[in-house]
Amino acid sequence: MPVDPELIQRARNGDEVAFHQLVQAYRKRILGTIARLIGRPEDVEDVGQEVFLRLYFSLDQLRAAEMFEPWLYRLTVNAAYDYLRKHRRRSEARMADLSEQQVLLADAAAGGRLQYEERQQAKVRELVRSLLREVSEDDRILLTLKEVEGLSLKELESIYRVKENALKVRLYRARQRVLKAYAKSQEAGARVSRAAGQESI
Amino acid sequence: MSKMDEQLDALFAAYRRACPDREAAADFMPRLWRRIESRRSETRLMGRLASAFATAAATICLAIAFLLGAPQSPNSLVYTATYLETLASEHEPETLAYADMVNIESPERAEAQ
Repeated sequence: MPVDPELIQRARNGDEVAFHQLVQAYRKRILGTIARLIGRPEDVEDVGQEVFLRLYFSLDQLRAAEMFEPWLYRLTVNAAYDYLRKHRRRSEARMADLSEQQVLLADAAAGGRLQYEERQQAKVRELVRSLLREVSEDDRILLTLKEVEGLSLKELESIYRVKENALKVRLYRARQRVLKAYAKSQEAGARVSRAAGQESI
Repeated sequence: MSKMDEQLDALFAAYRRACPDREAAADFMPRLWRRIESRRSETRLMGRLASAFATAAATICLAIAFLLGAPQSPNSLVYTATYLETLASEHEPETLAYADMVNIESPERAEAQ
């Protein structure tokens, strides 16, 4: 969602109306990205506030208006890192860390409350988050930006300020780890289905 | 690309759909401006403290420079005389008494004078 470079320039010069418009233009997308990066809906707005606060006080360091979006993504990624580091312990006992079977049981218990579509989406969210927990925080964020946010390698290069080849290697390794975890979860799911089938017989 | 890779891509795409972009709460902007204002006033306070500290440090430096650079009066408490001058001034009466004693105890010298 590219905005008028003049608006960015005005915000850089301290125009508060321009800054307000800039936040309004990007906040929905940034909040969505944060939600996908940290996986805790209740804290998304706080992290979003931190991103735009940092943006306000660092906007004068932005060299060119064209670099605004990577700059904003960089701030988002840094705020997400800070949040994840701070809440590492708290997140240990979360739903996403439960086994596939436990998730299915919990899901079944909540079945009466949720619509089928919502339940499917919740399952996808939990599954992807549990898979992403198999890689380090750094790789998780990188993988999410590439695979879920759909950023190109060029964009990632300008966000991370790292050579494209290094990013490719990191992405490949992270993806391999996630694939391995995915294969394991598939096997576990198949085992649960087989056991359920045998019980019904 | 393996079947598993394809499945993973589909899973990521489903995840993207399951976590759509979200609207902010109505008080998002007022809260943001309050935080900006609070951070600004903190910065201003720190600036004022730093300025006061710099002024105090400069004043102390000037005062020390003035004390060290001012000409010393003779009665100054600050020590200025040399070691010999001080020694002479402190032992003057004793020296005279010794000289008198020498005069009394040397008759030859007295005669010669």
